[in-house]
Amino acid sequence: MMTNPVSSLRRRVFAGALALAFFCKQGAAWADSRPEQDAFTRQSLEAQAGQIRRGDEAAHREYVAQMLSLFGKTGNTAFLRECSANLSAREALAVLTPLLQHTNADVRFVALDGLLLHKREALPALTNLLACLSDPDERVIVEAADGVSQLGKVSVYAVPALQRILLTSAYSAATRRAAAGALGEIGPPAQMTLAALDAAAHDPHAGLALTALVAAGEIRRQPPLSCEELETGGPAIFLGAKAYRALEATRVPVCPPDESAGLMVHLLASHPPAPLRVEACRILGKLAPDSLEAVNVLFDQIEDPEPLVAQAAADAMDALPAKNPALIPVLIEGASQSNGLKAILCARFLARFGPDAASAAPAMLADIGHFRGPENFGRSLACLAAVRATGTNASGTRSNLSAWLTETAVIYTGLDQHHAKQMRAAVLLTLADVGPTADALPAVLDELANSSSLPLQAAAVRVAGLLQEQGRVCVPRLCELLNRVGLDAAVDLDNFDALTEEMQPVPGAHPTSVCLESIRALRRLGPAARPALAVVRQRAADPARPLPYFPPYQREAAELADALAKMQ
Amino acid sequence: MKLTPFIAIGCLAALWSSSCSSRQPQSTMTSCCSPSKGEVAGAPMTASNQAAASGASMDLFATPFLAPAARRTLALDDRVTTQDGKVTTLRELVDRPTAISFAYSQCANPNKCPRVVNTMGLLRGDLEKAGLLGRVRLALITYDPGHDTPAVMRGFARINGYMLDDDSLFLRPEVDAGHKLFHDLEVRASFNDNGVALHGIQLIILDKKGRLARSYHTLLWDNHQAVDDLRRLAEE
Repeated sequence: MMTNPVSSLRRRVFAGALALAFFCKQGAAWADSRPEQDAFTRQSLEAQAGQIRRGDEAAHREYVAQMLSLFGKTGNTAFLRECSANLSAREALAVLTPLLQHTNADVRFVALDGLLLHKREALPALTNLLACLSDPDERVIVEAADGVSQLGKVSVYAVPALQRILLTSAYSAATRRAAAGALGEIGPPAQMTLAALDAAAHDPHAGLALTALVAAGEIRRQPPLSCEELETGGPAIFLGAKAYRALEATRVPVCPPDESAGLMVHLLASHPPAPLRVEACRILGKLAPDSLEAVNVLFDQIEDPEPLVAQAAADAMDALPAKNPALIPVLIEGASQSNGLKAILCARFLARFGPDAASAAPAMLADIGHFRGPENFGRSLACLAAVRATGTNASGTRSNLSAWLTETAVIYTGLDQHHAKQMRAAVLLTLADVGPTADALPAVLDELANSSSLPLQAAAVRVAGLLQEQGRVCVPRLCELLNRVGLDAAVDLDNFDALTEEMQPVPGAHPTSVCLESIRALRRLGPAARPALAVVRQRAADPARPLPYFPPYQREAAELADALAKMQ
Repeated sequence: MKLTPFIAIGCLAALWSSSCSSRQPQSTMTSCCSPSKGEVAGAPMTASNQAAASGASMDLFATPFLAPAARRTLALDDRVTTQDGKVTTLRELVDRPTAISFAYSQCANPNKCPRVVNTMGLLRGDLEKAGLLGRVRLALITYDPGHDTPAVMRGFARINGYMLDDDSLFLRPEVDAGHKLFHDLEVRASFNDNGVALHGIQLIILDKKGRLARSYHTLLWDNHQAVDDLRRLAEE
């Protein structure tokens, strides 16, 4: 086939221009990492000046306008979530209510979530909240259904919309279930929906059927069975007309908690229909028994083919108390099984035992080494968290952990860059808690000097501060971090969701806390850091280059100021 | 088709970007705690400056410079493609003292690969000033042979200020054998199916027989020291 030389040339030129644009963008990102080009930090620092919480209306309006500009224009949900949790009710109403009509469903969802945090204080936005029950995005509807049912007497205004959702088969079962649950929460004022709930109690979807059954029982205010009725009825009583009253009796519970837990174990062992298995698991979670029988029966439910049962069992496992040391060997065994969910739950359970589960640390490390790759990422983080929880009792793991900090360590093989960074941060945090050694220095310096990830830097800073004499080499980099970190990096934090869940990284590893950690690390390093302290003081006193600061982080900022003052 | 605006924007951006690159100081920061006048905060700190500022030993950032008898020979049989598309082996290219580093064009970390390429460009300038160019060689090897074709490597080198010719190369390992080469050179990186997962910063210095004389790692190396190393090897 002949190629047209002109069009071939055009294609090449076009591709070249695109490549140039791409590389130039990379160059721009590089340049933007410098603080004087960090417009966001500048804008924040200029706008706040500490006036917002002092009732200054002009400053408040300015703040609201700034927030709207930041979130509304960019649809920056990660940062919106970070900040909305820290807004006062007044600020939330002003900033978040308009965002309920944002074109981006993620923004609407996060704004609603932020508003509902304020419960009844969000009542001025009731009309907007009720409108969310007709949102085109079902996530928003589910969030709104849960939220409006918690608003007290005015929740009754949501009943017609909730009934409509329940009766609309076009909605997913999860959305209809949320509506049924909300009606149950509202209780007797939702009397008009009983027929719809009774019908939904026979829905083929297990979760919806059970939620509707329970909601109908709550609206009718049926009294729970007595302990005697429950015991004589056995598991069969949960299957008949008295099902709601029996469940209510275990939920209250009318029997002593251990007896109620025993009943639930027997109920689960009799393999009742899925809705009851779900509810029995939930009740077990609330009763929180520490018996081996309860753990074993929940293990079985985790492998249930019905996802809702498995999820309820997993939630229940997470709620069991770490009191009975006899469970530790069972959990170590469970953590080594190929079922990833079961392994994660066992590792989490072991983590709750804290230093008492130090005997599990070698098994956890072996698990990380054996089950690798993207599909086992969550499992590895859970195992690391279990080791971390044992603290210095797991000092025998130090050399393994240090070896995993090298870039060629097998634990990174197969992971994408994002997960590889999270894994390295998790190893650093674990090492910080078990007690780091000088072997960790190359990786710590690498992250302090070259990393573009704030959580990873925060973890490295924490380890640096614990290295004592050997940590002296990190002092210049710690000072540099105090100078360099910009607020734009906060956006990066939301990408570390999984790490947050399993590892609880440096709390809110935003720039202020990286600075704070840096100062703490310098203080821990003691005399070795003395030459740096003068620079830190000078930096703190320089009005032209204030330390990163943002109103939601006032507590951290105050701590930072306090730390600086103590250095004088 | 109207291509002119694309080309114009691309060229202007390239000019702007290269001026940014040239603004990046290298080997000038005496201490990150006290940037001197005119310095850019956040500029790279080299291993030797870091060591000087903290009183640490250079051993933390580099292996010692080995005497000829102590050097071990690396496997250099791996086939590579140069920026001009020529296929050869590392063995053929290491016919004189050679400094090898690693980078890839899709690196998302502005503090790593772009700075490594830029520092290699500055090293080339230092070698030229020292009259060593032609007697020693520089080579960058991409971590990502699947994506970094010779054309991409040339573009990446150009915007980061690394001039390519017979003395300073950008090499692409064979896609299948890429990991073998990295293993042979003891490169600090791990990989996934699509490319690199985690990587460090590294400069390895080989003598003309392909033996490892020194390796810099963790922080950006000091080019003055790298020039000294290459001079010593060239004089052997």
